[in-house]
Amino acid sequence: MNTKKTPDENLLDAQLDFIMNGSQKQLDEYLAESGADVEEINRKASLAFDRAMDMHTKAKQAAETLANLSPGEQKIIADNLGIRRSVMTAFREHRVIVASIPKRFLAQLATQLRQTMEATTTALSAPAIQLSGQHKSDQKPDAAPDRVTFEKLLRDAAMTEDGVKELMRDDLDG
Amino acid sequence: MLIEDDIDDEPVLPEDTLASDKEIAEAVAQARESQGVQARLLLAAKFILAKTKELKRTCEPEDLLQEAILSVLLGKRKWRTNRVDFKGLLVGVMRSMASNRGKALTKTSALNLSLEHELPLVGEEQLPHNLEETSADPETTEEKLIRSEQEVFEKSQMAILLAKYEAGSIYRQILDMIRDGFVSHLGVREALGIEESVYRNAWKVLMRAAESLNTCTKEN
Repeated sequence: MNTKKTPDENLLDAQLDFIMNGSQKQLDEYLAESGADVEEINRKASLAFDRAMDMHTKAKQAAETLANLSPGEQKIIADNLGIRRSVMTAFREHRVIVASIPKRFLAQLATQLRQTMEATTTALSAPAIQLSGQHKSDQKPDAAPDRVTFEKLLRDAAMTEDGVKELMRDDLDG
Repeated sequence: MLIEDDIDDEPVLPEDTLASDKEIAEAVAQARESQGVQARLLLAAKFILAKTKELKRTCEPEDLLQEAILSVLLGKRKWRTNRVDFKGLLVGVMRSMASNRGKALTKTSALNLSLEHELPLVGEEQLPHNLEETSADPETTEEKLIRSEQEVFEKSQMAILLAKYEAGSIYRQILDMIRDGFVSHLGVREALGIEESVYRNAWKVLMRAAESLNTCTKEN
């Protein structure tokens, strides 16, 4: 594999080195000379941190809700969503490629979990929470499970063709 | 959202020391409290995003920074503390996310079918496509066009900067050195035998020129 950097990647390396490692005086001079609104930069950066931390809290909560569902709750939610328990298990183990899940289904799942759609989506995209007694001896603790598409999951669960079609609908209204 | 199917593309090596959730949370909180660090990270996001043609139209620097922080907090991106400090980690994650997402955006739906007569003629002789070869090629014509446009765009940034300055000028000498590989500004300065203050001023001029170029290309 050719790992040689392009001229533009080298230029970006040099720019980032200056931004991240240059002295504060040099950076302040650069910002002043380029007419940057430093207050606005600080405000936007703080907002990025705050939003990330807030979403992390919400996603963690959604992941815990999903992980801590009792067998009875799992059955009710699976029935309400029209999926088999094995599909529900795959969601609990974060084994689904999130981008392959229709928005309509994600919205329904979020409603069932009483979480926001964004928190549910983010939670599902993260590594699964390791529940006690869930760790298999032949699996490294940090090994990520292989993810599959939502459609493959439905087909592997032997759902009917009509059932798969219905669940794969991507309109949020219907 | 960039986070949805973001994956850690760096393997964890046996000698790697991974930060705990607590260490990550502390590092995020510390960075949040330092305006200097935050501002640098946002500026870094701006320059990283400027290097992507598709993504920068739909993503702001603060979005990229937010998604990188979230990815690290969620444990999607591991922090190998023996390799990089927290700021370096976030910069690396932003670069990787932007690059991966940029590539994904150039992928178009497989349903964008091209009819035979719509395919462009190929080669110097402008012959019709060999359809057997065309169907075996996983990249659609549109994808090829976008990729080639992206490659031209990426090459053009350095090319435009090089063209802007006369051969032999200090700006051109610095760019020529960086084009072939960058290790550190000190290395470039020493190799060129330039005084620190002269180099610093010249580099700031180049930074502003690149930023102004980024602004122009974003509008196009």
